[in-house]
Amino acid sequence: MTERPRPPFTVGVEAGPDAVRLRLAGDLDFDTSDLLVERAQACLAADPGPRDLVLDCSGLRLCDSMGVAGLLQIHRGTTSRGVALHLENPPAFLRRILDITGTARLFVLDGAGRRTEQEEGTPPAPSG
Amino acid sequence: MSSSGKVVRLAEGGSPLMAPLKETIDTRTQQDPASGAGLWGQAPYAVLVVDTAGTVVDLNPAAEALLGGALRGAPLTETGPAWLARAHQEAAGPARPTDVDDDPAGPRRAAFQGRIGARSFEAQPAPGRDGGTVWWLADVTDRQLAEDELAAERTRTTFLAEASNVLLASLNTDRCMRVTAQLASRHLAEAAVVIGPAVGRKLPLAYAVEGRAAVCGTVTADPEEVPGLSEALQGFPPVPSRWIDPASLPAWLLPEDFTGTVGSAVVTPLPGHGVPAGVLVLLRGTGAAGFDESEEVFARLFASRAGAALSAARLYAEQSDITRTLMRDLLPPELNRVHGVEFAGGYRPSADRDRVGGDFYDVHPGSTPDDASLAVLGDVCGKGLDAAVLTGKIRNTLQALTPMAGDHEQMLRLLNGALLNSHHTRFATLVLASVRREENRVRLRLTSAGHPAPLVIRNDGRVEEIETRGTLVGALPHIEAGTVETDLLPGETCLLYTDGVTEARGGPLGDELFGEERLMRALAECGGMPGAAVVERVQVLASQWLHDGRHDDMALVAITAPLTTHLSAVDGHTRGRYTA
Repeated sequence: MTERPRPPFTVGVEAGPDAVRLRLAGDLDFDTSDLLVERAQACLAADPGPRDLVLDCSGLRLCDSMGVAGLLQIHRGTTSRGVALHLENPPAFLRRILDITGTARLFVLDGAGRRTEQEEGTPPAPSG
Repeated sequence: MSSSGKVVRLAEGGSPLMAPLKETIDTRTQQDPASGAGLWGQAPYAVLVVDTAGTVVDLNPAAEALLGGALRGAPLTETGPAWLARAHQEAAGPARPTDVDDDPAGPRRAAFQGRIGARSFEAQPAPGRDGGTVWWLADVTDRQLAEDELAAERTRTTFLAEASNVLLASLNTDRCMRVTAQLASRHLAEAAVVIGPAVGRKLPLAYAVEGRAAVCGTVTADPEEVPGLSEALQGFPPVPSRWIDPASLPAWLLPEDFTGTVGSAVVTPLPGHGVPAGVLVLLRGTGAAGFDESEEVFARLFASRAGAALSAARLYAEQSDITRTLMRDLLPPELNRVHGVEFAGGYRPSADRDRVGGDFYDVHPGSTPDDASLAVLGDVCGKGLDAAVLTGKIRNTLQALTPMAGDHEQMLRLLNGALLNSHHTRFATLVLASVRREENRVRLRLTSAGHPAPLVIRNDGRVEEIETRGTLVGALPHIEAGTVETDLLPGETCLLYTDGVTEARGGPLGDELFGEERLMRALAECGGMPGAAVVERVQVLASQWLHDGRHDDMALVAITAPLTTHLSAVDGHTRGRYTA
């Protein structure tokens, strides 16, 4: 097997008045999760900060455990600031790894089974 | 070099631009020989006119100042510089062989050159009146110095480039020291000694003499014996190179095959990347010249390259030592039968050889055969040292927590608390399996903490996914976990695995995941097989799927209820005993 051609991981930033949207594309893994965390933290540190941080995952090709660690790091930042963290258009593999690792409840997932929970430990409440 | 530059070209005789000038000189000489001195007097060069008999007929003031007025009217051979006299004979004689111009050193070398006093001159003949010769003398001292320096600089640059190539070709510390000593003894001094930072009380050394292959060794010596050595060996703060009195050199610092007496010695630190790389001692015999300033500067340039290579080698050696030490502790244990239950493990570290893996498994036997044993299989996110450190921490914590294995969720909470850390969200996912043999069955309590569910291969060929779910540990303040109980009948196997198996990429298209379904289909064919065989089968299939491509760590643990024969009591109603 030859090395798979790996498209570069990119993070596009669209800053709105209340929400910042990050468009993720490529592989979110050991080599790239730091980049995403940096971008997200920079957006959260802005003054005034956003009310919602939306990660558009439709361009994501892969997410490994380091990618999940990156999402958890961002979640720490949003929780401490009271910002809602959305994962938009999560591909099946992303839903799966979040399900297995028991972390899906931390994010506002769009589409079926949308749940929102910013406070740790509170039971998931259906919304929308 | 603007004015002498023109003369250089004239001396080469190749420039058409200069031809008219030459002609003018000749014409003037011929037209008005008496006033020649007046015209030449303005020339920035010494000019002398020599007749066919070899007598100096005339010279200009510059030539007089250079050679003295006594030359006028005297034979060149007796009073002039010998090299100029020879040049005159040669120029007046038959034409100089043309092959001189083919000399690889270039035509410039073919010009007549020699010294007058402390300076170098180039003599260019031009035909004068009555077959005589007009000699133009151009002072080329500065040009020659510059040329010599340029040549030396080129040699040094070539040497430095070569040195870097050779030095960086290896990350072996001993080899780097030997190469440094050898190169230094070939290009910088007669003998060179490289001294590495002390290991305990021993100093590692490499000796080389006159460019021959270096010899490595260690001596038990105090660096204080050599002035400046211990400071230089500390590496920081940087100290300049330092002359030392050859008489103060201890015997251990002299290479065995260095026969002469040391005339000059200099201690140059090898600057490393923040770590001490060592010291270079250059030695020259009494017969050789001492080190001049430019040589010392050059030695420092060389030392900085050697230091960079040596410290890289040293850092690498340290890193691989650490990795090796950690790996020794992290290697998965060999699994056997514990309290009547078969355990089999398989581990295939990721193809990146230098990276310590993040998968692990352990089996902690129950204190008595009636107590449950605890099997753990986990996957730490990330790779390298960070992952290795986290893996070690998890395994130790879990071992300490084994008395609490009756409550998996509580155990995971405690583990989670021990791992939580404000700097990062690196986490681990794992499966806990409490395993107890009861009669011929094996009772399992299984809890997943964010890990792929365990699979059970039933005797009827079904492969059952155990629906235990929980949160990963080490990243979130609160976790949840649900424990599921199941029994294994004799011959049935429960398989714990890490996602390195299911996420092996390959297959016929090269980019397909091995996947859970493929794994379950493969396991369906493993009904009744011993646990070790199941592990091996899965490993083989995943490896074949990979085609030896890049993969993550893969770890597997099989827990199997041994096939037994019921040694029933005679009436068939009492409990009886089981073999195996």
